[in-house]
Amino acid sequence: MTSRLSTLLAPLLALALACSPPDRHASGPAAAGRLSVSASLGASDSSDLEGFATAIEPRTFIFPQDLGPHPAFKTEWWYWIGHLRAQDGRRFGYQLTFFRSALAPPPTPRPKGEASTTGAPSQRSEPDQSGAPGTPGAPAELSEPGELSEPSSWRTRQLYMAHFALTDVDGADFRSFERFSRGAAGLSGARSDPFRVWLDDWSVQATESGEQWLLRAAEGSIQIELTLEPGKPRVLHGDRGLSRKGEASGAASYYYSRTRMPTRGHLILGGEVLDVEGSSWFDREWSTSLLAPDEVGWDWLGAQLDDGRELMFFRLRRRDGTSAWVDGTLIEADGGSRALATQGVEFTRRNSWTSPETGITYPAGFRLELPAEQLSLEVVPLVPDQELRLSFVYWEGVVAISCSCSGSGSGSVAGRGFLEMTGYGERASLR
Amino acid sequence: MKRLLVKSVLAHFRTHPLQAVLAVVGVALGVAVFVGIEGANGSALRAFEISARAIAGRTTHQIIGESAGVPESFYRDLRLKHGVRRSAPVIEGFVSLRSGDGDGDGNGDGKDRQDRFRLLGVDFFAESAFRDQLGKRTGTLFDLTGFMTRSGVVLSAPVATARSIGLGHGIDLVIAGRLKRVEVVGLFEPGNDFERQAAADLLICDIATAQELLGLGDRISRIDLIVPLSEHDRYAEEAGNRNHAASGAAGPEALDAIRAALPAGTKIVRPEQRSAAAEQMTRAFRLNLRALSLLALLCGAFLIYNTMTFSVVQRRPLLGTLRALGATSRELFAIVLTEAAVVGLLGALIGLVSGGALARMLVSRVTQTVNDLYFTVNVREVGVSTEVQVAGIILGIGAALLAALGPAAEALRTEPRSALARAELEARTRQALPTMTVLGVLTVIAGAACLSLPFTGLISSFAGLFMILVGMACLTPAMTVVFMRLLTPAAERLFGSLGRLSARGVVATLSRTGVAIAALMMAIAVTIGVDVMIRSFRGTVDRWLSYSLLADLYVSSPGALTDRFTASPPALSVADVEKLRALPGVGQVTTVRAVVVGSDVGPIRLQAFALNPFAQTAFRLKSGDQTEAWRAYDRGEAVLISEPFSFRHDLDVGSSLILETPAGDRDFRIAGIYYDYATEEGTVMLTQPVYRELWGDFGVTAAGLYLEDSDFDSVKAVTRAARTALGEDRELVIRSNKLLRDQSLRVFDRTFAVTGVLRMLAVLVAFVGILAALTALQLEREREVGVLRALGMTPIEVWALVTSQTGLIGLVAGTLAIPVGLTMAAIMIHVINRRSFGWSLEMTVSPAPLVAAVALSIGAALLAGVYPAYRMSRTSPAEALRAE
Repeated sequence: MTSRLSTLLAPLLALALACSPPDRHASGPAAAGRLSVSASLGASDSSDLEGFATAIEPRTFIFPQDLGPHPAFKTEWWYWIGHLRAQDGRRFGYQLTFFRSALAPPPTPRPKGEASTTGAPSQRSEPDQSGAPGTPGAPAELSEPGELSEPSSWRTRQLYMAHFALTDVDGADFRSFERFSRGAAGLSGARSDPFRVWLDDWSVQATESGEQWLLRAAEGSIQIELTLEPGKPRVLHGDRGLSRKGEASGAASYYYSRTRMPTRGHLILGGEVLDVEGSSWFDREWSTSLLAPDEVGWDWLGAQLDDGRELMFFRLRRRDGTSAWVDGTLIEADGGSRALATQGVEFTRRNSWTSPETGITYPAGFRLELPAEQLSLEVVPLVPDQELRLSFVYWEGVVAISCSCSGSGSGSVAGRGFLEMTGYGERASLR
Repeated sequence: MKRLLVKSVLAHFRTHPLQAVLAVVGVALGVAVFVGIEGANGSALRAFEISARAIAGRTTHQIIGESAGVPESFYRDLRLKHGVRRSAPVIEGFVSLRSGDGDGDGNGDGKDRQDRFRLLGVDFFAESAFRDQLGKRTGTLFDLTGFMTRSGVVLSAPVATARSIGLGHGIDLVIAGRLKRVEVVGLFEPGNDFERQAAADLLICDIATAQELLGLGDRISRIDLIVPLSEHDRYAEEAGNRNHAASGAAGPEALDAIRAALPAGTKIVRPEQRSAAAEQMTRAFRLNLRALSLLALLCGAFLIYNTMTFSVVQRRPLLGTLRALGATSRELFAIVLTEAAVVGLLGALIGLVSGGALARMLVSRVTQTVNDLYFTVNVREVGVSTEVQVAGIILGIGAALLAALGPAAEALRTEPRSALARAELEARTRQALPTMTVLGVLTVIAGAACLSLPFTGLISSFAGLFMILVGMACLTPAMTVVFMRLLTPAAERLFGSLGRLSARGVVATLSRTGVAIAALMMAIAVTIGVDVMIRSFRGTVDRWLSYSLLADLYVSSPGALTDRFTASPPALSVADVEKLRALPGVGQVTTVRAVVVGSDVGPIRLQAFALNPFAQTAFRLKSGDQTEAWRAYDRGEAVLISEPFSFRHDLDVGSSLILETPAGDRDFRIAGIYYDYATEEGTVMLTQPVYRELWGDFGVTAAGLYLEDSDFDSVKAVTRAARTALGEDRELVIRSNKLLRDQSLRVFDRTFAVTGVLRMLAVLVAFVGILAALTALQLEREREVGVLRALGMTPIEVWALVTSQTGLIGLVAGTLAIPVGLTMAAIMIHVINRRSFGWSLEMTVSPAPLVAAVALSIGAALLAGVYPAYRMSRTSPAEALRAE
């Protein structure tokens, strides 16, 4: 779950943009300055969440609708990460993520609690942009937007943010980019049928047959164009897709994934066109929730093991580094899945790596022990610096995994995965 | 020797302070008028430029649409299909901020001030590369949610403080006649003085809010781009970041790619072009004002000439003595010029200071006119640029030196010890009279030649006008002699020997009176010329209004005049027009859609009229066959153009005009040229059905209602019914033709208010001139008066003599001013106005202003003579004659 990123999203967006310099190349101290400002406002309180639907109990997922946006919830994202290999053997990792964040809840306040278990009402009549044009609520004494004339097609309460990153594993190079846009006027948005999510010219959309997804992103001299097959069936995390993040009611999200999507296409790096193949991981999650007051960040792992199994694991972390909440899913080679038994989980930090740019120190690898599952994973970053120095700074990148598993037989299995680590810098802390 | 010379000069001015003061005042007034006008004009232009620059930010190029802006879908295409990320959508319009009762509690202080603000609608997410107001300058004082989901606006912190507006306050905007309340959701702190000035009238809102408030449908005003293109841009880019030099090289290609994709009716311009266009548009207007301000300086120059001549003549004995003591004539020449330079410098400095104050006084009038006629500009800062200050000083000193050349030459001729008698000077003056007269005639001829040159610019026209004026001034002494000869018998018959004495006295002291009369004549002539020109202009416009305003009622939004630089929504929809048509008592309805569209001669004002045959009589054709022209117009094959348009673009009946329509370029024949005084840019008329078909724009800017009964009561009844039918809250302006006509004339009068002020100042300069001349005369004639007194003339008689003499001076100046003023009016009407604006004006002369001018002349002369007369009458004969 690349999850709680989004809980910070709305207030952070404003600040990040407000403080971002016109040119990307200015980072360093400026970025650090941005950090603290965002942090101060990042601590949005629960009043910001009033009027939004919350994930309280399991729901029935309906497709393709649940590919599309859920504007009744505060935030959601479409998350693609993947491992690619060029014909010459060079390895790459990519990330393309679209975040949606609502500035305000939909105009008609829905009852607090679960929005709908059927999913249908939350889809409402918004197949296209997640914004509800022309019907934003406003204090009665103010002019209603759209009152003077037809509502503007620019009017929306939905913001989109996208991150695009590429790791050149063998070249030990990492690049990351971000974009922001309003979810209106066709500039960015998401729709379920035919599936498409986009921000400017970064997009993922269903091919004409609807069977595959076409993923496109380009920035500067870096460009990817990939076709993703569905691969293994969808996995609903947690309790039938209700992924809990804490004890409190509503501290949860709706979360499903496609954990191994055969991927091919090409990658253009500084004019060089590389044919690539590999597999991607797709996360789809929406929620209206905040980190608990004592939580500062999270670590998330999506591992694809060479024996055909996948493992999703996350933990919410306290300031002292201990785990506040732990959860995960194990996906069998045949597509069957179950929640990880997390009793006695051990998460041991191995080395550390300090970002030369932001000064933030991250763990440079973990050892994850799940005694109840008789699993022990050694997680090592393939490139130390995979820090996304964007408006929101976090570490996410390609890791190598070696697993001593006693589960399905043999001793040791290798694998690869993506690791996400947030909240290691001052700014990501909520308090 | 030098010290002695300097001392003598200082001593002279110490004993005659009034003279020095008057000379300085003359220069100061002239320079002040010049500086004031230039400062006001400059401030208006600078305000425009500052806001244009601040609004452009780091924009290098803009995609603009000629009619109703740019389709918003093109912005999406630009980002999604063409990957142009350094692009930002912008909507710009004008709104009025109602202040005084900001909380809407209804019991405000009664003040209902409205200030024009520039409403800038932007996309927050595209902004940071372009402008700093949102984000960098707002810091944490910004609520994005309010900005995007409510009608949130952001303004500068200083403006908010000045108006006691705080975050979260509601403010009332008047937009297209409707009252809208918006919420202040952010305050930005201008980063420097420039930003602060630009922010003085800036309201920033979300692009969705702007589109809704301004009712723009699916259009935006423009798309800002950052495409480093020129050598300069690229250099800056490279200097800024060497690693990115390569991206700069792609500029031209990137721009070409965008250009290839541009929708019809849009184009790429550089933001500077906007200021250049503003400057170009107001050029004629500013040049006219500048010429008038130079007239004031010219009057000032006469004054200096007068003073310097007098000071030389008065010091003749001293100068003779100095020569005898060894001063060379060259040194005397230099000393006179130095004196003039000092006077010029002092006057110029005082002029600069008072000119700054004058600029502040004039700026509201100047901007009012600019707003009425050209484009909206809010001047919150008035300043005089260094260039203008330098020019003012140069003009002041230059005028003083030029005026002192004659007196200095006089000093050059000073013989050692020969104290040139007054009589000798007068004799010489009279000898010079023929030369002077010939020179005057030649100058007038040269001026006329200058004016009659075909296709010469405005500057040469003004040069011609000035030459004619100066030439006529040169003729003044000769004319005065003739005049006095004619008047002497009459004066003698009326006032006896005293009358003869005064008439002869004027001629006898021609070296003095000639200049005074010339200066006064010039000022009065300027008054007459400007007055006749304005009256003729006004009369023409009035006549035009009376045959143009045929409908009984006109419905439009207040400020329906299209601003070329900003989007203005149509006031009425098709449904509104139908509602009006259905009102009881309404016969026919004509409508017009006024837009700015592109053409092969650049952006033009297009008016798409739906007219019935009767309404067509509101347009009088200057050329083109009446029947044929209207038939072609109705069929949509041809357009009609207004007279200034024809003049400006050198187009005539039969020429073709290509209009850029969304459906591609269309070629129209010009079937006729109509008289029109509404804009100096000129307009093009196209029949409405064709406009709607080509542009797909069904909006209506204004509608004219023809009532079945046009008496007062039914006009009132229909006005009320129209208001109800269209919605009470719309605050549309519904005006009767009489009201519209009155308001139009009021705008006209406002336009010439500045001219009126200038005219007054010219008279003031002349008045000071005549005061100086008469004072000088009085001082010089002390001995003469002493003799008269010794011969038995009473103080009353002396007083009467001097007063009648000044009266005569006024009479001569006033009388001579009439032909000169009329000539000037004719030149302004038929040459300068045509070359500036292209209007045909009918010159009308009524006797009243002429009589008034002569009365003014005599009055000014008499008033100026009061003090000298008083002084002279008190001359003690013994005192005056003691020197003998």
